[in-house]
Amino acid sequence: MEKREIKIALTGNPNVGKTTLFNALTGSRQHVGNWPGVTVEKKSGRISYKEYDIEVIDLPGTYSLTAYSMDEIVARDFIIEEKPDLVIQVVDASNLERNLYLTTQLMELGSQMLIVLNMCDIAEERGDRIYIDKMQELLATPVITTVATQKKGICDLLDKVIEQKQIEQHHGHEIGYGNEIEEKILEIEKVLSEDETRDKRYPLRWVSIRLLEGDSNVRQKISDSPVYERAMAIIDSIDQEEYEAEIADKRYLAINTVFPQMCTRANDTLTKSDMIDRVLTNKYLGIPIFLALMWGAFELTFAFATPFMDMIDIAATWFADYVSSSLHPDWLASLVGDGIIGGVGAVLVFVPNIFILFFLLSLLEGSGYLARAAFIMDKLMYKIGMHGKSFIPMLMGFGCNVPAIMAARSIEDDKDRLITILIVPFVSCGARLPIYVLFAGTFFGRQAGTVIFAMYILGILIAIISAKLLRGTVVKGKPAPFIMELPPYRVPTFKTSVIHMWDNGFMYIKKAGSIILVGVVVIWIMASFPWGVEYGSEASYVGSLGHAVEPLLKPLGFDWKISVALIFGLVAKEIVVASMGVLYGAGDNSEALSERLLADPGITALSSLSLMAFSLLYMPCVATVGVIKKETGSWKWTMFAIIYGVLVAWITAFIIYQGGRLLGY
Amino acid sequence: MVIKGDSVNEMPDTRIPMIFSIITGTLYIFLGLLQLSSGIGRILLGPDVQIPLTNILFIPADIIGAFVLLLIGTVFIYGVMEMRNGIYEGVSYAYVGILIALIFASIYILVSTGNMLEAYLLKNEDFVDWTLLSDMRPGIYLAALPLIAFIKWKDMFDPTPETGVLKL
Ligand SMILES: Nc1nc2c(ncn2[C@@H]2O[C@H](COP(=O)(O)OP(=O)(O)OP(=O)(O)O)[C@@H](O)[C@H]2O)c(=O)[nH]1
Ligand SMILES: [Mg+2]
Repeated sequence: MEKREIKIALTGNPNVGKTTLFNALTGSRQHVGNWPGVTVEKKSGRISYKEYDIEVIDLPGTYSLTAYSMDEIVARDFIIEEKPDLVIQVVDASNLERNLYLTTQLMELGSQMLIVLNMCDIAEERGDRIYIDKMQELLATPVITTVATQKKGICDLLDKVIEQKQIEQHHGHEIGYGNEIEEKILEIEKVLSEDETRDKRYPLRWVSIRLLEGDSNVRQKISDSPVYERAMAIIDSIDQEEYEAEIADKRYLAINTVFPQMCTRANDTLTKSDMIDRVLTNKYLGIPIFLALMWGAFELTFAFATPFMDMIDIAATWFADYVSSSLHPDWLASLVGDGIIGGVGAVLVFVPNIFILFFLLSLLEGSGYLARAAFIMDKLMYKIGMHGKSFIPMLMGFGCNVPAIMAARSIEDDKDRLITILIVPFVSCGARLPIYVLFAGTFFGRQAGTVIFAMYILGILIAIISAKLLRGTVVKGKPAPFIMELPPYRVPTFKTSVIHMWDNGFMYIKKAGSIILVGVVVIWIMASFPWGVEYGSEASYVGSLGHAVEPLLKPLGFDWKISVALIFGLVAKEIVVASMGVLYGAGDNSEALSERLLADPGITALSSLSLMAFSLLYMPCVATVGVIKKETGSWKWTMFAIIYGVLVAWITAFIIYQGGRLLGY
Repeated sequence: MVIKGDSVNEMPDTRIPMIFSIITGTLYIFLGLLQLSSGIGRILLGPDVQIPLTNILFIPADIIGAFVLLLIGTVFIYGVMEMRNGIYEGVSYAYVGILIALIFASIYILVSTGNMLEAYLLKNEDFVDWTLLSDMRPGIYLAALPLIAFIKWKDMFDPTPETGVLKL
C-alpha cells in the first residue's frame, strides 16, 4: 500500500529539547547540548508510523518570530514558505510562561499547530502543576506531554499527529490588539489584498502585524509589490515604536490572563542550579574556577591518554617493522611501511586524546556550564569589543572550528558575528592537538600537559587580541549587549556524551583513512623521486620543496622537513604530524617517532615550541576556509582570514624562537 | 534569587557547614601554600632544595596544582565569610567547594591510573620507579574530607520543593 506523507516541523524556544525529541522520533544523532543555540540549520529525518510516512524537520530555536538572528530567520521562513502539515511547538514545561510568547506568534501564522510539553519530569519534580485540558481549551490547540530524554510520550505524539492530519480544517485563536491597532491592521490588510500577485503563503493579517511592528525582513519581502508605497504610507503615519510596544504588551496581557488558569507553579525556590551559579558566576571566583577546570581537562586529555597512545604506538611500530621486512619489492615495503603506516599511524596514535577531548567537551556542553562560561567572560569580552556569546563558538572550537563557526549564527549582530567568525580559527581544534602532544610529549616530558594548556591559552589570547584589533580598525562599532538565558545545570547523560565522543572521534579516524592517507602517499612519492635519490633526502622533490620555502621559515627555527610538513598541513593540520611520520620514517622502524625527533639536531625544545605556536595559528584548514566563505559570503573576508592568520603565526613564532634564543635557550 | 520564608528564624542553622568549611578551607590553603613554595623553591633554588614537611605530606613541586588547592580553599573560606554575615546562601560555597575538590581528586586519580598502566602493563622504562605512592598529593588525600561530607550530606543540599530551604 502506498504510504501517506505527513510533513511536520519542530519549532520552539531554544534549549527546550527539540533536537532531543527529533532524535527520539527519527533515530538520528543530531547534536544536542544544554545551552541555547545548538541547532543553527534545519535538519530533516523520516519515520514510518502506521500507514504514514512522516517527515520531521528540526528547526533552530527562536524566542519569537521577529527574526533578529540568522537562525531565527531560517526557522520562520521554513514555517511560512514550506507550509508543513503540522507545526509542533515544543515547550519547556518547567518554563511554560516564557514559551507562550512564541505560541501567540505562531498562531498568527495560521498553520495547524500542536503543542508538545517537554521536560515534564523537571516540572513534576519541582512540584509545578499543569492542567492539560484547560490548556488545550484556552489555546485551542492539542497538547501532548513528553520527556524526550527518556523517549516518553513519543507514540502518543505520533498518534496525535496522524489524528490532526485527518482533521483538515482548523481554527486557531488569535489575539486582539485593541480597536486602534485592529483598525490599522485591517487598513493594511485591505491595501495588501489588492495586489493579486502577492505571495499567498503569507497570511495577510500576519504581514500587516509584522509591518506595524517594523519588521524589516517582511518589509523587504513585499517591496516589489505595486501596493508597497501605499502600505508604507500607513505605517509612516503612525508612531511605529509605540505600536510595536503596544502589540507586545497585548501579547503579554493575553499570556497573563491564560497562564494562571492552566498552571500553578511551585514557589520560586533556591535550586541547586542557583547554588552552583552563586559560586561559578561569582565576580572574583568565576574566572579562576573556569581556568582551573580547563587546565584539569587538558591535563586529563594528555596524561590519561598516554598509556593508550603508547599501546597504539607499539602496535603501529611493530606492524610497520613487520611490513617493511616482509613486503617485496623494496619500494612497496617503503610505501606501506614508511609512508602509509608511518604517516597514518602517526595520526592514529592520537585517537585516545581525541576521544577524551570530545568526551570532556560534551560534558561541558551537556552540563550547562558552557553558557556560564560565556556569562563570566562577558564583561572582559565587552571591554575587548566582543560579544559574550562569542565565547561559546570559541569554546566549541576546541573540538572543530567548522561547527564552531556555524554556531556563530546565533549571534544577532552582524558585526559581532563577523568578528567571531574571523577569530574562531585561532582557537585550537582537535586536529592540532596531535601536533602538541607529539612535540610537547617529546621535548617537555612531564611538563607536557602544561605546555599543551599554554597553547590553548595562546590561541584564545590571540583570538581576543585580534578581536580588539578588528574592532579598532576594519569592523568598527560596539558589541551588542549580552542577553542569554542560562539553562539549569544538568548531569549530562552518559549516553549522549559517549555518542558525541564516538561520532567525533570516528570522524577523526575516517579522516585519517581518507584525506590524510592521500596526503601521506603524495608526500611519500615526492620523498622517493626523482628516481634513484635516497628516500626523504634533500635531493628528493620534498627536499627541493622544503628548501624553496625554508628561507621564509628559517627565522622561526624550522628546517626543510618541518617546512614541508607545514605546507601539507594546509590541507588538514593532522598532516603535519603525518608527514613527520613519513619523513622521519626512513630506515629502522622499531624506534618510536618521538625518539627520532629527539635524535634530530634540527629540532630543539625551543623550535618545537615555535612550531606548535605556528601550526596553531598559521592558517585555517581547507574545511574551515570553506565554511568561512560560506558563512561570511565574501571572498574578501575569507582571504583576509587566511593572510591575517599566516602573518600572526609568523610573528608569534618569530617572537617565541628569537626571544627564546636571546634568553639563552 | 527569591527565598520564600517569613522570617530569618526559619532559615536553618549554618553552623555545621561553616565549621566544616573553616577546617577544610584552611587545610587546602595551608597545603596549597606549601606546595606553591615548594614549586617556586624548585625554580629559584634548584631541584635539591627541600621545603620542610613537603616530603611527609607528599607535596609535589607543582605550581599550577598549588593554585588549584588555593582556589578550592578560597571557595570554602568565601562561603564562611558569607555565612558568618548571616547570608544563608553561603552554603552554596561549601557545596561547590566539595564538588570542585572531588572533580580535581578524580582527575588526579585518573592520571595516576594512567601512570599505573604505564608502569605495570606497558612496563615503560620511564616508570620503573613508579609506586602507588608516587602520585599521592594533597589534591587527592585532602579530598577525603569533602568526600565524607558529600556522602553524609547528599540530601542536605537538595532544597525542599515547597519552601526552597535546605534540610540542614
Ligand atoms: N530532564 C530533561 N531534559 C531534557 C528533556 N529533553 C531535552 N532535555 C535536555 O535539554 C537540553 C537541550 O536539548 P536540545 O534537544 O539540544 O534542545 P533544542 O531545543 O534542540 O535546543 P536548540 O537547538 O539550542 O534550540 C539537553 O541537555 C537535553 O539533554 C526532557 O524531557 N527532560
Ligand atoms: Mg536543537
